[in-house]
Amino acid sequence: MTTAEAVLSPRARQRRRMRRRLLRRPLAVAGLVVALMFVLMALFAPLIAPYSPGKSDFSAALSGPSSQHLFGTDDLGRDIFSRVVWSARASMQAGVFATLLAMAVAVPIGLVAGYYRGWIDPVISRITDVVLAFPFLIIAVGLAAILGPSLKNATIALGIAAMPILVRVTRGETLALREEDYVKAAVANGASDFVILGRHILPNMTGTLLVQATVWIPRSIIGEALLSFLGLGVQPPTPSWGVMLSAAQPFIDQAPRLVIFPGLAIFLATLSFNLLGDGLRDILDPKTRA
Amino acid sequence: MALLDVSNLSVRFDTDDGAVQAVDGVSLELEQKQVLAIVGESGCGKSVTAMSLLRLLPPSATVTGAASFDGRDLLAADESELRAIRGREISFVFQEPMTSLNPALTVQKQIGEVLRRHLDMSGDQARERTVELLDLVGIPAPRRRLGEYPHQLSGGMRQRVMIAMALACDPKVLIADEPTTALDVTIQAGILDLLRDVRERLGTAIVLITHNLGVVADIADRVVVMYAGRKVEEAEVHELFAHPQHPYTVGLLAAIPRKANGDGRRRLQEIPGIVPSLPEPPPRCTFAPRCPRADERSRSEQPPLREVRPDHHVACFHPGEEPWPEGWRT
Amino acid sequence: MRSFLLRRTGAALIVIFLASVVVFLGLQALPGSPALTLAGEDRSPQAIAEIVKKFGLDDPLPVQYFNWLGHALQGDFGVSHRTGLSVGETIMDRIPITLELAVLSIIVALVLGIPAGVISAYKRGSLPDHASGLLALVGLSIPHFWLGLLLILLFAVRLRVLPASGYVPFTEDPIENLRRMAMPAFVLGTGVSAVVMRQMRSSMLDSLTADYVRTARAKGLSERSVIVGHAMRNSMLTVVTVVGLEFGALISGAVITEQIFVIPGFGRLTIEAVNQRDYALIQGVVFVAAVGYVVVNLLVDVTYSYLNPRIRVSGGSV
Repeated sequence: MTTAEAVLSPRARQRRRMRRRLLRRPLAVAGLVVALMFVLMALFAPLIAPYSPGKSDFSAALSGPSSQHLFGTDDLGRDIFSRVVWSARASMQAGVFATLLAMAVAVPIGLVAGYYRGWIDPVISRITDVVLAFPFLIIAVGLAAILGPSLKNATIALGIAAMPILVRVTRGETLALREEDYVKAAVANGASDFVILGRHILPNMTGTLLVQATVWIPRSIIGEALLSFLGLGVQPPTPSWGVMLSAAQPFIDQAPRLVIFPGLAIFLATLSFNLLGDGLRDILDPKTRA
Repeated sequence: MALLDVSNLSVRFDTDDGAVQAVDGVSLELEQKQVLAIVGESGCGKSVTAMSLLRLLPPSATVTGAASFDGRDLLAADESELRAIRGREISFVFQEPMTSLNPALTVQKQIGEVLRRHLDMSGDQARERTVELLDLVGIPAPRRRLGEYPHQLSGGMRQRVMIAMALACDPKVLIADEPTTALDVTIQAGILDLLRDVRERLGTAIVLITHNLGVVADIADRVVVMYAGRKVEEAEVHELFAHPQHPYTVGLLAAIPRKANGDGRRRLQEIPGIVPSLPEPPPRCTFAPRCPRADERSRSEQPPLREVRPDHHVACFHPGEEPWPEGWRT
Repeated sequence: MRSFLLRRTGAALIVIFLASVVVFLGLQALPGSPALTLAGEDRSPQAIAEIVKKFGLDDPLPVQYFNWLGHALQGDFGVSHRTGLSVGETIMDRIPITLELAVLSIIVALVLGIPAGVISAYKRGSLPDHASGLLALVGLSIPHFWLGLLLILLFAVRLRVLPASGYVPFTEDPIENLRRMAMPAFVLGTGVSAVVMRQMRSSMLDSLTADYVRTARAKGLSERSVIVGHAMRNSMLTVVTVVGLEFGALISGAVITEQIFVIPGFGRLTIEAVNQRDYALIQGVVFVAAVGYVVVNLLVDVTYSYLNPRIRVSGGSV
């Protein structure tokens, strides 16, 4: 331990240690970097994209990559590169907000189910089981169909679809953590339930929740792309990778780049989060270190 | 000629934290029909020594020295030669019968495998022979056991199955690594009787690895005492028990729980300290840090193995039978 | 084991029951009154009144529900207002096609995933291990609809070796059937193969370091016997469970894949139903999907308990 470290609190020290271990894994770092890149792309789209996503130039329709159009143009003469960049907004929004929504609802439910048990636990578990009888994407598709096609509804649908498993995970962690000695000590000292859940149980779940986030964000990104591909998500003219792919199908022979670039973006965005997630899982739980 | 001849065997492990010398220059011999006991605390290298003979150690192990079986060089043998010896001429019985038996295979399958592999038996022949073997090791209703799985058997029975499996091809040598340690005391006696029986009836030589001297007294002909990867004492069993020379042996004998000899209760005598895990074999007596007889010499020179009594070798600068001092601490 | 099976079947039935409630209520939750949505095109007051009478829409909800459930259990989901065909029949026509796709995909997944997992575990830390790991991650991350389009681009458009779309029943022409199923099965299979590979690798790492493998080697068995007969034997259990769990992902994937490759399966039916707001069809489809999923999970449990001797044969002398 360096002098600098000795001065830090145990939690800060732990964070430093994690950071060091993370840096030792080049793949995870690469994932982090690329994921951040996409986030930045989403935030700063207007600054990065040379053209606005709707700007058509029919004279240059379906042209190949050039100095003016980095990835070429689509059938309406729109710059593919700009559209790919702007699409990051829809995907990141869906990915991040759906996951946040899911966690905001699922974590409290899971905590309650796992901590109080009693009659509420079986009820919550059965409901979760029923929802889990439907695969993730089916739920998302179903909900999106009911709610009507739009990015907002797609995000909500994806968030709801992610909740059951998150409830299960949170419940499982809570069940395990409530048996820990420090929790029992807090109970014996008369701490209120709220304090116990908030100060003892929840903070010790952050690792698991972080890993879950890296699982559900990419799934939601793909989910949004899928819904948009089916016409149930983002509606044109708003650009989305899924919409771009769907529109690219008729031109697959003439201009494969219409298929390649948007799909590549989805792939890289998903891959980056998965790499990051794998790395995080490795450092947070030595048992799963492969 | 000795059945097993091990000479100056050393085993070194390359681990993440550096190299560890698990066995350092051990020599021993096993004669036909003999029961040789290798004794020492956990971590002293006795299991590693045995496993190195058949190359059953992980790839991080480097084995040097010489070991031969029936005149054949074991260390230089190639993999197929070794595989022909394993289970056929030299068999192993491990400590934990629950985990050492495959939970997904029936008794018949596991024993039958050996018969089919080495003796080329057909399914029916293997079946019959398996029943014979189960009977031999004292398992009641052997035919019914054929289709059972390990989890359906008691600990003692599982160990008997392991022994049956080891005896399947009538090996010349049976190496039993802590065969009774994981079993209830009441069951242990049964297994020991069985091993004794095996030696008598089948003439199999046995290498018995254990940390329990009580077990040794029961069944061994000859004893090798190991400490921290080195052999520190060797003698015929009665000689060792009557006249232990090395302070470690003396300590081990003193640690055997015994009823008080009329003069009130005795405290359980323990040897203070722990067995070291050595990265490099140090040029001194490895027992010195815990030894009541240690002096400057023991701390700076490695004691060679010398014959201090007829057919009784000790590696110590201060051999002798003085008992362990009561309440001695390092 | 029998009591275990009974309990699991009971649980499955409860879940199906509750799922049916959800599906039924789903219709009620849609914008517009149920009568309107069922009416489809003809929305005159008389037509609506007829529908209300015909479907008993003015009965109390529980009555409606049990009515519907009763019919559903007999396979009668009513008639699609769009095609006029029985929903139940339409579904039954399409299911075998998707089942074939699912089975082929699972075969692909196992053929790719199991050897990769075994070799990775056996040669842990080596280049093949890291390469497989990375490949698995790629397989998990690649959007299957994109992969499908890329394969069409490569094999159908550029190389012209496989047809881009369409379906030919197996009974009619097995070769053509397989040619058309090849790409979709591969697309769906890669995702699952990644999961299978990871699981197999993890299980094998456990098995290979287990005591019984040491015993197997000490018995003089060939390395192949040790790996396949002992280590893999014990690892296959978890793989079976994983495949069952991935079935849901397969169904979801089939939805898009059938769309892209124009295969008239159950998945494609779902899209058609949703896009055309054919609510009778949607209800039928979602219900059958849930039942199928639950049944598959049940089968996985049964298979697992059959394969695991500890559950299959419990007791005996202890």
